[in-house]
Amino acid sequence: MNRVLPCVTSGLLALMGASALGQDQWPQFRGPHAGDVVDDPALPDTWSETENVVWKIDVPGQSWSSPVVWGDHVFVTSAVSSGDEPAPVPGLYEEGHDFGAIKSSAQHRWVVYDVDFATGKLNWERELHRATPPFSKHIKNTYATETPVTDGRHLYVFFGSIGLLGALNLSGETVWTTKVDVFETRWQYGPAASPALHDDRLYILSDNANGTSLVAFDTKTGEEIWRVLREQHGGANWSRSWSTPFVWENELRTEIVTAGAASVRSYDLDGNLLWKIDGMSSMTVPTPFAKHGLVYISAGYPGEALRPVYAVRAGASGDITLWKKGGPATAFPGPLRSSEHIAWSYPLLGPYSTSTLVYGDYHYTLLDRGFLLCHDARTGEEIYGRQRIEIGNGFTASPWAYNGKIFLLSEDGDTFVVQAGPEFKILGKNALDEMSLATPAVVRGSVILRTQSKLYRIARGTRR
Amino acid sequence: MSRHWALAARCAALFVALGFVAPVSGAVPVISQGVHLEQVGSIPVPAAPRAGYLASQVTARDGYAYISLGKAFTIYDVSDPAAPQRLGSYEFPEEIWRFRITGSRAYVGANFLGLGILDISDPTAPRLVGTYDTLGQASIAAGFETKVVIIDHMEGLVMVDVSDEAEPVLIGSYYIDGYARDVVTLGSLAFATESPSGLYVFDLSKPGSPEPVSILHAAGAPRAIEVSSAAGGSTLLCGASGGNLQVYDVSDPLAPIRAATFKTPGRAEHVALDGAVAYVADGEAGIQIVDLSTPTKPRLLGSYELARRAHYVSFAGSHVFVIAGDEEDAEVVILRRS
Repeated sequence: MNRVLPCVTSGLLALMGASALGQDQWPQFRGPHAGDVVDDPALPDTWSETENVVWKIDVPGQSWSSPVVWGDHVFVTSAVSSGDEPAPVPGLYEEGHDFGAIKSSAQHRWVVYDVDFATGKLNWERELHRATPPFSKHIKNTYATETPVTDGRHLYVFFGSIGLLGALNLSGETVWTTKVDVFETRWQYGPAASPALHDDRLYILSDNANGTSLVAFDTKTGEEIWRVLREQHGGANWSRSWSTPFVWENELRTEIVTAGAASVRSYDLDGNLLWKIDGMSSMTVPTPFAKHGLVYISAGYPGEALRPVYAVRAGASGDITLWKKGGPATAFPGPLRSSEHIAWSYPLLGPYSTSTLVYGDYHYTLLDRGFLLCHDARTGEEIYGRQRIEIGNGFTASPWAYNGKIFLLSEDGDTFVVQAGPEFKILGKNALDEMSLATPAVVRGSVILRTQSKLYRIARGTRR
Repeated sequence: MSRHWALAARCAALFVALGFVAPVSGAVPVISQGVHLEQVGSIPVPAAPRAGYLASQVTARDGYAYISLGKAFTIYDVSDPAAPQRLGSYEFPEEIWRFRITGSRAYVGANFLGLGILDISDPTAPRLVGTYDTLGQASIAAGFETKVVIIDHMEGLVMVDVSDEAEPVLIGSYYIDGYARDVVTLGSLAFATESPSGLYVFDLSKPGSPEPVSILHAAGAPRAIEVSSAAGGSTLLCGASGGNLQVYDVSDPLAPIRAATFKTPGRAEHVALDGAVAYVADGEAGIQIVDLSTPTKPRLLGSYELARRAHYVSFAGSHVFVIAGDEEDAEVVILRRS
């Protein structure tokens, strides 16, 4: 299904075009609809390393950034080391003496690749920086985990580990680059939050060992427009989030929702605080998104007494904290609760790394150790509780859905296909036999899936 | 051996105020109510990583001290605690989290190796007789008859049959929410804990996959726990969490209760239980001795100051073993209690 790409002249129109045309484009992490893909009978249900593979290519280096797709361009980023780097470890990893931090002494190249959608051939490769990484990272993180974003004119790339924000045109020429402050992250995990694009601005959330800031940049020049230095209760120790900010266009206003450690905070487009929720997990990874007039926010560090999912209504102001600090010390997932501004919330439902999914009327939570849960997306009523997917298979990539099916990509490279709706049923398992933490792109009948070393284009009816 | 007499003096004043006899004088530190500790020996170890993570551990039994540090499991003869003798060692391919000893076996949580079963009947040559590879990081294991229960980060509590130790067979697993931390057995009962809140009780005499007979959620569940039968038929379970001593009454395994949260003078890191007396590795505050004869009202009996931070404590017979130090330099301090 190759539709003619719209020729757009502004970032706003480009993003709207992508949204209006469904999955003709996949401009950002989780696509235009937070993993809810427009149905398309051409999309595959099954695949393997050879079945339904249009092409697969090797991608050098280490990166868990997601591919983004615009027209014939499949963009991926990577940090390519000149030395041997330790392999990432799958599963819920509890740190040893050094919190799992790895310091590389090898020179790295930070690279953007443009791969041809049709053929898998490399269109161009652009090295944006070359250096020894200034800081350590967690063994499961990479030095290029942030997913780029595009408005169809430019590709905006952010490498938090070296503080480089840049814009490339679709031919790979550098339009501008901006140096962004680089900070050690808490416990030396390294950064991961991706930039968010809205109109002519890029928003970057930086929670780090020194503090936390939300910064708006001009997409045309890379210049900083405003910066909010955020206070986190608990101090810098609580500046632990790897969540991408979300620009929420709701029926009342447009706001920037940030899921930080300890607090959720939402700002207007000038950086003024609109509302906040104190009561998050001390390490926050999932990215907020909106459906049904609600913004869904979650966090779920496993060792935490508060691992909440919130569904927040538009129009909140001030402090709308729901759960008391320390959590309710109760069995999973805790009691369902609501308030004037929070349509529903559970104190312990939140996933560690995956973002949740709303598909149709249902909210799906994929827990890191292989459970899927389903709740009514509007009310939070439980449809089904923890359903085991496969013991021992961990999950970091966020789920996606199309054609009445939910897709769950495990860290072992297995994509479990689950029937959407009120009955839990595993329909199949597609194995690629390589570690996978990146959330795929789904565009024009194809799943663009990144494993540790490879990039696949998967579509029906092809065999290698 | 350096001692901090200021705190000891404060403790002595406290004991006097509480009506205890506090025979603190001269070079003899502590104590009260008949508990008296003095250092009689030490074993140098190169490091004492943070408690609760990949950590050094000492467990003593029948004149031997079993010490894990990094990948090494080492046995010392401590029959003469003034002159510990290194006997034998086993080097695992993975880091050791913690271990428990049952009879002639040490059940070792060996990270990604899974369960390691060491035959320690010959202390000069501990021998790996079996392994079971769990699906995540294995952090500790405990035995009951032919069953071993393992704490694993991905699976929760894993139960294997070790009738043939060379080929342990999976019986089943039970998913434990949060971070599964520790398991300890007392008779056929296994107690498992998780962060942030759960205590799970299993009856290992039951056939089939493990299913808890009870679950208790209480804030601040400890990372490491110990269990002990106390006078009067009660059973106590203790651990350290958030710097506090957490006390559970598990006399009725079907209805465990959190009896008390007790703030120690320092920051509680680990606990050893001898009946209703808890020895607490209390960080900078050394060893604290706490009376739990009324579990809901823990009572400080006394303390022993150490030159360095106390991380881990265990006891065997008349001796208490303490890992004290930091990540650069540490020792196992051997104290005689009388």
